[in-house]
Amino acid sequence: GLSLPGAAPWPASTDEAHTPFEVATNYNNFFEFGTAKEDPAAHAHHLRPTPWSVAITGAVERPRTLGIEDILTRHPLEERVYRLRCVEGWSMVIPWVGFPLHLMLAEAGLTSRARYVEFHTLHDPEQMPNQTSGILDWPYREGLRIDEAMHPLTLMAVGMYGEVLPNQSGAPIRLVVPWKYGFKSIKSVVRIDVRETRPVSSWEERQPREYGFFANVNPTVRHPRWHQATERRLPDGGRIRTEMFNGYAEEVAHLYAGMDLTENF
Amino acid sequence: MRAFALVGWAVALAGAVPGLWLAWQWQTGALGFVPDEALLHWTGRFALVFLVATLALGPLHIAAQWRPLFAARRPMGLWAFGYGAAHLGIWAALDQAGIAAFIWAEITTMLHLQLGLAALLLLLPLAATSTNAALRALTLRRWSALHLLVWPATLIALSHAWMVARFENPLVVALGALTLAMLVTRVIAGVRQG
Repeated sequence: GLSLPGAAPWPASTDEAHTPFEVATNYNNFFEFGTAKEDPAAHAHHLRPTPWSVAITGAVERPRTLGIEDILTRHPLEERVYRLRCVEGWSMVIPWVGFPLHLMLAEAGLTSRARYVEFHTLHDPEQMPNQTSGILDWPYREGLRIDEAMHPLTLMAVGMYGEVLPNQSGAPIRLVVPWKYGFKSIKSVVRIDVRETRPVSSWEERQPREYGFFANVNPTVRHPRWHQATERRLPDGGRIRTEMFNGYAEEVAHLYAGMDLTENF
Repeated sequence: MRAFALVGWAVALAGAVPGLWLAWQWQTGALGFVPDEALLHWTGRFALVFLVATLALGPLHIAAQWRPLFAARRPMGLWAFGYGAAHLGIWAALDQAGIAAFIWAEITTMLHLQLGLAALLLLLPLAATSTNAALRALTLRRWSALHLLVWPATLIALSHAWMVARFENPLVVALGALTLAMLVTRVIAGVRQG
């Protein structure tokens, strides 16, 4: 892909070995292109990441629609190496290129009614062929509480491994929330809606017993059909113990102080 | 008698083909970037298909009016057990990386693993008594009664597969429907015979 020069290395990056680019881009979930792990790489060529724009709407002082070229130059880009833990029990270490979401939200100006943020993926079955299937209510939607959205770890990624995002990884812009299960990190975002009421995310809507709104990585709260205590570090890092908040507890545990994480899973 | 021996040996050899194909795919890198998962899923599917195919040989050899087909049941049943055992081995050694504490924690809490293990344990005495000597030692009546365990084993194995399937799983649905149809037919026939 096109290289993204000039991203400053982020000092708090994990020093764990990066998952190879080929693995991260050929084994992933992006149900808009199919449900098998190889489907995104096989079918994402239908997606046209340019021209692209992202609308920021709702409880903001300056609602706006930004073109992707504009977004790429608006905020300084950083390279951040994060762990990514999938709810299915596998994990990767990925060098993302992007900027914290709070810069984008602050620029739009949050109003006093800003309590949650809802993200929408593109809805276009011509570009995303599996949106003709009924497995989810398209478009894919995800949500964060405003303090989660404003947290300095919450990233809008426009690249990975020093290149612009490959289509199958959520081109041209996606969310990355490293302490939550991967499905929270919504791909190919076209709309960021700031709101007063809590949105219902797509997986929560489909299987509320299995996928909660918070979806924080938590080894002590199991999925109804499998354990979350351990994970497979891909491609060949063996099976390791899963860390609370995916190892980011020091940074984010305070967001959930006093909350029952078994109830709010 | 020659036809019996021929069918038996042919199935015994043919049963290795899916496993060899899988090993070939694995060694040539055709199983993708995470081959363990493909190995796990394919061995599980092979075990299920062989199990239900073994059951289907009963009605099939009656319908076909060709008794040598009956000789396929032993090697087919043994292959079902073999692929099931390989499935368990791959799960423990590769998926769980052979770490005893992780394996134990999973098996003691997850119902689908308990079901899978139960199905395999039910098949174990059947595999162990698959020799002519065991048949003679048990007598046909007791041997046949013991081998009725294949029915609960199959139903349990199918429920294990159903639980781990993320979405609708056409293979499990088809095999389940076939198994239930055969079971119902057999129970009705049994009732008629008194």
